[in-house]
Amino acid sequence: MTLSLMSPSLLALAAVTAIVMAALEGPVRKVVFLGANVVFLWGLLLGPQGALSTVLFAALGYALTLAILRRPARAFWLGLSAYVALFVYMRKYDFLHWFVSDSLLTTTLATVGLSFLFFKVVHVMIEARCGTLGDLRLLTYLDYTLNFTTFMMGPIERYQDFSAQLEGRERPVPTTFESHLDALLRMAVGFVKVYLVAPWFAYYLPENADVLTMSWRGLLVNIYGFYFFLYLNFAGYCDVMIGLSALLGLRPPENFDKPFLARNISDFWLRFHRSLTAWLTTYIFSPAYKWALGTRWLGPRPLLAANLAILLTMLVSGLWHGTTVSFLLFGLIHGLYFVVFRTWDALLMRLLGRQRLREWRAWWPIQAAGVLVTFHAVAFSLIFFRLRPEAVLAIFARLVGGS
Amino acid sequence: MTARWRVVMKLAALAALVLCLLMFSVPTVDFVYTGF
Repeated sequence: MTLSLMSPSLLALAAVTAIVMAALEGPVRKVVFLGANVVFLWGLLLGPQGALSTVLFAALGYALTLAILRRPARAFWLGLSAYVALFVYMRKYDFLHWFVSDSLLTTTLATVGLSFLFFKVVHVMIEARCGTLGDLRLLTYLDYTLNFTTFMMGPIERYQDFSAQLEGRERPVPTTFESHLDALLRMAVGFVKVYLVAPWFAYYLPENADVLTMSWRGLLVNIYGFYFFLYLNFAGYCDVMIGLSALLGLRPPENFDKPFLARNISDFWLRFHRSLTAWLTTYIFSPAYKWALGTRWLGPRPLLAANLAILLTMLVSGLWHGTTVSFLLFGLIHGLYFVVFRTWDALLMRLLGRQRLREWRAWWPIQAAGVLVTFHAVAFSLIFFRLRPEAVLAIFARLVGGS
Repeated sequence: MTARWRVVMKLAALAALVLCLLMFSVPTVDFVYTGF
């Protein structure tokens, strides 16, 4: 999608919102922010139909959360299942064609930003079920779900943190000239990543047809190029939005921490799209692992329980990222990376013991090898983002065959 | 480094980045992470 973060209309909206919000206190601040969010969705990003479907999708989440707060045990699973089903329908997953006739599949509902919105609403529903949500207020909720600074591509923040910041219970950003300057600098760095550096790599986005005829060298350059492009595009966007949020007195979580230096796959997901990792760990991995440990068969086998839980988590991650089989395979391959890494780590622990394993991990050649292997493993997995499974298989066939 | 000097440095860095963007940026980049 092609909304420019440097478009005068978006920058004007951000500037006016920042100035007005800085001058206001209390509930009217929330009303102004909601107005800015609606202007963004309606006027800049989605148009009337897309904006309306997005607001209704968020409003349904509010209604379901209210029901969960009143009757947690009864309403939770019913509400969550209905919401997941609606998300799958609106997101137009490929597999829907197997069950639903094409005439019932709509193309008019909004999909941009829907995955991020969905995870935010599910987070609110689960926290409501657990009794850890705090006060649920309609204006704050709508500002949280429709927040134009994080709507398109995150970071995925917690409702509790956002509401404390918006309602003034926490002031994460000091209101000094230098803090505003820091925010503008952060935005400028993000713009440079997205609009100045990333375009150098935009030439290296492999196409389905090209990978079959490309030379070996060309193929590798394209695979690495796409990884760099994806990082700069996404991390630059997050820089811009974190800087913009700071101008509004908000601080979403950081999303990146030098992912190219990751020493293993677990380290990678703690450095790349960190807010998604936190969400998946809290709401998929931890409950699944805990459940598995409670079963008679998996209870005495914690490594197997953890591996199955991580496989499930990564499959959900794959389905969240995109609607085609390629994304399911992306999730599966990352799940397998985790299984190999955790099993290898457990084996080393048994062979070397805790102290020697710590020394082994700290030895620089091992760290360098870990960085190299992780970089390549991730770069190759990202081709699922771009290519159909047949094209990916063709690449792997060429890798194995050496042609 | 004094606070005033630090602010001056940051202003200079901001000006340099904005200048680079005005001169060399490519404004039509797709965002690939919004939903594939």
